[in-house]
Amino acid sequence: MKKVILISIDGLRPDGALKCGNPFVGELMKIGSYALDAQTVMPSVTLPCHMSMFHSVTPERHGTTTNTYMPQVRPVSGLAEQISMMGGKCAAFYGWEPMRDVMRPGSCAFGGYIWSYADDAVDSIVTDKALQCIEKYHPDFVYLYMPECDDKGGHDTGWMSETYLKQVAAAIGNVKRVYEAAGGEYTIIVTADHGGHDRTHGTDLPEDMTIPMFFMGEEFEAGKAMENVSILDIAPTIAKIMGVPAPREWEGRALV
Amino acid sequence: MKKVILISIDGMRPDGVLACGNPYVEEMMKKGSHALDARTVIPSVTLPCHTSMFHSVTPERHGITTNTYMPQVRPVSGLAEQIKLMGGKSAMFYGWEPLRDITRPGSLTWAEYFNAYADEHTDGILTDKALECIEKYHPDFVFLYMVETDEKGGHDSGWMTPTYLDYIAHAINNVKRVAEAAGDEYTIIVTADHGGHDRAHGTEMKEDMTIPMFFMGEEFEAGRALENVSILDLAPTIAKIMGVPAAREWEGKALV
Repeated sequence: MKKVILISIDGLRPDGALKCGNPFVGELMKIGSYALDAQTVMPSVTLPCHMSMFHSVTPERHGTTTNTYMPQVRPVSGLAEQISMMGGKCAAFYGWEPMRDVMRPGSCAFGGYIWSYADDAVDSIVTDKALQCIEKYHPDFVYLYMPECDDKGGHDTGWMSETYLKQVAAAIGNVKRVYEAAGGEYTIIVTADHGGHDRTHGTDLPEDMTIPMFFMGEEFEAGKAMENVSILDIAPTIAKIMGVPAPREWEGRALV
Repeated sequence: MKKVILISIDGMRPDGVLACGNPYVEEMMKKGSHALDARTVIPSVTLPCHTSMFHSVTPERHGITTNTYMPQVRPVSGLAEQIKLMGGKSAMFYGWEPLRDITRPGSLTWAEYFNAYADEHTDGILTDKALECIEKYHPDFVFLYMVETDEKGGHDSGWMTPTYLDYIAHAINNVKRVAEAAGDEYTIIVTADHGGHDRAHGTEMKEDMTIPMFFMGEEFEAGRALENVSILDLAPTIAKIMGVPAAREWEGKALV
């Protein structure tokens, strides 16, 4: 089973990534393929968008339309459940507790959570946890979720503010650490759940709906810009790379 | 806020802990108070019993009657939510993923999960993680859940078998490590969710329904045996020690 790391940087706008000043963004675009105008789903809110990232259906289908998880009425199996069913081991490291519900209990082998305000540089702490787990156990699928761009950047000080861009630069620094430690063993996909404007998100404004994606691995052509990409394409793409079947209900397409 | 560590050793029978051969069991009985015939709730199954441990109502009230979590119909607030309400910070370390649902998202500040079969001695790994968190952050409430006694001991080889007793001896050793590292700062309570017989549990047999409890801290008289104790008494006891209000619906009694 080919191994994949999925990194979600909450609230990362494409122009935020380009302007953050971390030179590794330019590297990301040279090493692999990327999309700078991928679209998320409505509402452009963390849990609904991540549910769509993992289940490849829109919120109107999975039913989680706010940051409070709702058990699915007619459940669509998600990426972690599909991987687990095929015998793959999953790990999740996250800085926002409601995130746990994007995977059903029983689908992960490892998990680590720390609240974004429990310490400084929580993104870096969850990255450390992920890297320790990767080094020791080499899980087949690793999900790393960094909340600080959204929480401490966007909501606390405003999207595209100096603090926000600093948080983006720090998050990209963590991506670089993951790439340098595990890029040989794993295909790495970096994305966001939604963007933001002023100090909020959730609308259908382009600032909220447009997200960047970076794909690094042998499956992806170096330096290629991809078009018409949706957050719904993430789960089918990862499933195809890993040789895991996509459920009938998934609506996105594999980008490989 | 007085600090508390609650340790649950899944499937630990009172006669199992007495027969496990770890001399620290006797230490615990000398140092603090204990109950060797405390009662759990029906069904004597992990998630229903732990939900009762945290919510101080029986499964017929909280509605979780199997190991699949169900959102409460008329929710009773649990121990972690009450602590959070009073500004306390909680941490949870657990070896079985469905257990995450005994606290609502947003009530914890730290969590680590590690599947019991992802490594050997996962109880020890989780204890290490708990001790690291305690040393660095000193959370107000720590819940440490060890699952190997139940899974690798009881279900895989049978309750009261040498393998089962060996897992208890190891679990008690982890308790000893916690008490030695954090016993001055924290009151420590050690218990189980249910017992077991043959290679199962879930019935009303006394082997399934009887659990041990050990209480170590200034609130508890040394060497005293407590009587008529129920798993429903744990949340009210911990809440009282921590100065946190009990929810109106809680049915257990504070033992202090």
